[in-house]
Amino acid sequence: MDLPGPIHDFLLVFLGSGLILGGLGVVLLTNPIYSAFSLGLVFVCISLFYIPHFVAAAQLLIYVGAINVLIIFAVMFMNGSEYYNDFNLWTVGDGVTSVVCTSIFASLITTILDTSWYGIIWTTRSNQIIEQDLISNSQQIGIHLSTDFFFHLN
Amino acid sequence: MMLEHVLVLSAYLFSIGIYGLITSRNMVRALMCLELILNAVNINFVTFSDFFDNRQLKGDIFSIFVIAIAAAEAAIGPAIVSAIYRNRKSTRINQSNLLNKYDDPLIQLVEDYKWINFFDFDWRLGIDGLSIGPILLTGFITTLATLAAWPVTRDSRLFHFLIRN
Repeated sequence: MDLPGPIHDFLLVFLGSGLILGGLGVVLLTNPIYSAFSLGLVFVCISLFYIPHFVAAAQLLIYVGAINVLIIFAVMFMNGSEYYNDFNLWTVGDGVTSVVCTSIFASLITTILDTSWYGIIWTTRSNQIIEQDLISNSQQIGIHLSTDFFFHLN
Repeated sequence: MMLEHVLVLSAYLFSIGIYGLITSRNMVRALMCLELILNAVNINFVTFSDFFDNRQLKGDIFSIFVIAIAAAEAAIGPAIVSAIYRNRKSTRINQSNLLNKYDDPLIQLVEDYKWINFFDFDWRLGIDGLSIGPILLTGFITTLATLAAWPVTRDSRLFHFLIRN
């Protein structure tokens, strides 16, 4: 996400609200097909987040094109008649889990806002080699997959 | 400012995914929330590689691995769910009576003990056709590991405690 100023802010707000609503939709909607579609919305918003990288295309193709379709297959397999009964019984376990998840979220936010990220950026900038600029993105992916991430059996 | 916004969004997706995974009564919805969790982790990887590793993008590459693993798991998960659905005619997790005694001939060596009645916490164990493979493999490998560790003489009790599984 290294795009110029106001485009970046607008895109962040737009995609962020799409992510928030989509995440709520996956968990809270009763009809499983609706929640599968909101999961697809989440995948598309995440893919737009990744836009200058190669992973954006991979995310869109694989997640939206294959995994979301597979999930909708799985939902279609299940018989729909059992889902329209009254399912929104809020049990004690739901309350405990929501308290735990909110506390996990709060502790993550506290950690994120307390860490000085820009101090880390300044100390790692000096390690980067300038010649790597001449190799394109996809070529770097190939280089890394065959050297750094390649498991040698000997 | 930008980095923290994206990280907060990914933390939100992660906690919503955990909540949905634990409380969903429908197994397909649980698989969908697992995909949410994996996507949140991916956002973190790509964002960090964007900010700290702009030349080599190693976090990007690892997120491709995570996408591949998520795809494989999204293929197997619904297969298992539909196998269970064919057997049980229902995918409600909290009403599964698979381990009730005398009920299902497909599950062997069933243990069933009540623990906390208020939350409906029971303690149940059983072996079915899908889990017999890992159980046999675990027994075999534990035997091999114990035999291979026979000459361990320093801190041997700690060592055997660590491999006790």
